[in-house]
Amino acid sequence: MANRVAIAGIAQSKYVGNNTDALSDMIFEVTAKALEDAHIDIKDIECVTLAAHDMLDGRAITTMLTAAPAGAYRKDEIRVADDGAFAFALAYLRILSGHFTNSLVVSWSKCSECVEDTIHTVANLSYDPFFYRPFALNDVTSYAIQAQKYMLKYSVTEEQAAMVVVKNRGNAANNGLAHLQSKVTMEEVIKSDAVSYPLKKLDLPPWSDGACAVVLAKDTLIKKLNKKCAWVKGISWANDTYYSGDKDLIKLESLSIAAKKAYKMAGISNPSKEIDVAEIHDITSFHELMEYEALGFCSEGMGGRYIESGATKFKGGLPVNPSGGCLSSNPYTAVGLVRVAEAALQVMGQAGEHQISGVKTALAHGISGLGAQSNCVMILSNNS
Amino acid sequence: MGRRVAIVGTGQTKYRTKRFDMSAPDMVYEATSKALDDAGLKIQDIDAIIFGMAPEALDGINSMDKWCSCAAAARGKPFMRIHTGGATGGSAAIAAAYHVASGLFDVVLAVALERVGETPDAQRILNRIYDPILASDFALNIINVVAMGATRAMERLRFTEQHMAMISVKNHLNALNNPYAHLQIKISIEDVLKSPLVCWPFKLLDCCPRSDGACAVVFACEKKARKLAPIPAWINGMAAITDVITEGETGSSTGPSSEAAWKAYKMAGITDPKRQIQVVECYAPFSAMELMLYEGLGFCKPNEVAQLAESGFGEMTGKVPFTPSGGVMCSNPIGATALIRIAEAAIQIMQKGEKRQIPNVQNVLATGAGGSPGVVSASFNTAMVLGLKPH
Repeated sequence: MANRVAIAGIAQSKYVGNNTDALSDMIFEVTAKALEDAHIDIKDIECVTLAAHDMLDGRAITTMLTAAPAGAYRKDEIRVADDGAFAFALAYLRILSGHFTNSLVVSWSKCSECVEDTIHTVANLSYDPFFYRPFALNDVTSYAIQAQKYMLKYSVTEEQAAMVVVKNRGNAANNGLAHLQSKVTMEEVIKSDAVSYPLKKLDLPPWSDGACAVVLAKDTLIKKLNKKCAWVKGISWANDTYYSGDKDLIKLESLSIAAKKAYKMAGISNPSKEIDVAEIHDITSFHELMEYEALGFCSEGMGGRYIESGATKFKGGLPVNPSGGCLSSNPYTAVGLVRVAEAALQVMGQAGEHQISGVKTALAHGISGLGAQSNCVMILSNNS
Repeated sequence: MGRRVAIVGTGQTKYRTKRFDMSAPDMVYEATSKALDDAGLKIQDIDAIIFGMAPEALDGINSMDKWCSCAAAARGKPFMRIHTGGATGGSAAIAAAYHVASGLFDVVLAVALERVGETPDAQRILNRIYDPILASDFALNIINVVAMGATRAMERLRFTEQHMAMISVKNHLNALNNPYAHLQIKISIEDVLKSPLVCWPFKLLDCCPRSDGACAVVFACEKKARKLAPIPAWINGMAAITDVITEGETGSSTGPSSEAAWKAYKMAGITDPKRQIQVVECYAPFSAMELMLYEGLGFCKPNEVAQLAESGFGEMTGKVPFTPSGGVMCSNPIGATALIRIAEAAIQIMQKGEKRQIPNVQNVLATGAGGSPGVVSASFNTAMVLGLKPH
């Protein structure tokens, strides 16, 4: 059943700090490119699945004005108010349901519309007004608490986390679409300004403007399109509890649940051997390490050692984020869909300068919610 | 077309201007628990959850779905939030149906919530749905944009303020039979006509209230549905159409809301809605919108709207009762409202309507509309046809 749907077209914008195009123009550009890439005309698109965030777009219902440039004018459209990976999951279900043979998935973020402090205020507003909000928790502080606990429990060091930044920023130098394309050294990461201990400026992603579009299609349609594609072999997503006190902050339980289910669906029993490349949602350098563990790339508590082993480097046994990841380009709501797009490009052999050789199976991962509350894992393959 | 899907349980909170007695997760928990009880299910029986919530600016909490997720039985489970403005509940139900039809999930919960009572000025927030450069400055909001559409419809469909008042009286009367309804007042045509002017042609009693509330609906695959519910409500047709409205570019008489309905009719094998549909739970927050929908949803010709209203067509004892629940005019927790339409439609099929039950119901239409309202269209339009028998 899982073999029946594949990614047939992909487009991304160049990620930048401030895209001076109108939001709708930025969205239209990638939508048109993805359709062209898939060899599908807009009139043949049967449904559209979007992911966008009102408060970051500065609108009360952003899709009122952005659904049309995203190809949804007079179409059957649903908008997910989560990360783009979740829109991808819903689009996949819509095709499996038998109601549609294709779906256009588009996600975007124009973080430059907010000044940085506003983004943290929006993040703080995600916390309940009674117990958590008064503690000034926001995206950065919630991630910092997780990172601290991770360091304490498993003796993970700031240096090990810095290795993630050096790796991802190094990879981004080969990705023409990446926002930050300058390599950084260990020293630069360690000496970068403290933001919220143990997170320093370079442990955190930038805020980027950008959009990503993906065309999903059923096998019968794929045959007609006659082009390379990335088959969806496994997909699962899960949500963790909201209150930090009710969960193990560093286990990323919902990611671990989603990964196990996605592996089962894709018939993967040994992820570190069977997956050739992974594009994961590195919301901070420390989180990439925790995610290695939750995804089963290494055993519990070994994330720090795993990065030291070099396994996740560009030329390692399981390259992680060859595109440069979120630490190099962070179009907030679209990040998970960008991971899907990059994993698909790897599987299709079309990743250009950051192509890993011989990729058959790739993993993509997206996060929604602070403290990595909800996670979505997808397994893509070049084999139908 | 994938697997058959049916609704097997519903749960609603009491709708009120402001629920001082409950937090958002409390309301989600109440609706969820009631829906699970109604379907005879436990939390562990739910395979996936869809959460519906419209603009967070109304509630003052960003991505409130995350806070409410565990109250919706979603710990460790697949969970996502849908947001298509006022159509959110309709889109969430459709997304839940895709979850089940895909074959990956057997029992799926859709739960939707809004706390409009948290905002001092909902219309000011809704002004922000319009283009920040070209439209927002004109002080557009939902009320005055619907008023413009209604004014145009009064000319085209030849109905009057008197006809609008008839719809308002009918819906308020129906709400008296619905224990969850927000406004439960008996009013006369004169009361409506003499109520304070809000934006011509709308007087206060032509307009919906602002409500806090939550609604939950359980969807199941055919095998489970037949076991769980004595009378499952089968989803025989569903569709969504997105339009993009820049004021001034609308004006078609058969806009996307009727397009969505006709797509759903086609899936459900309905060719003559007037004969084949027994109840309509339409998304009409303003009296005139229901009159516009009489034509838009295929129940009459343009010149018959006034006559239909006068004949009592949409009353409880009329040919096709419209909103036996009292409808959006009597309860409007925005993000949940379109899901309430579907819950109420399912209640009619499942014969659980008690005082608001219509006899001999075979097919029910539930609609949703969100974003900026046009003449008979909105930015986001959903339609679902529920049947006593699977099509």
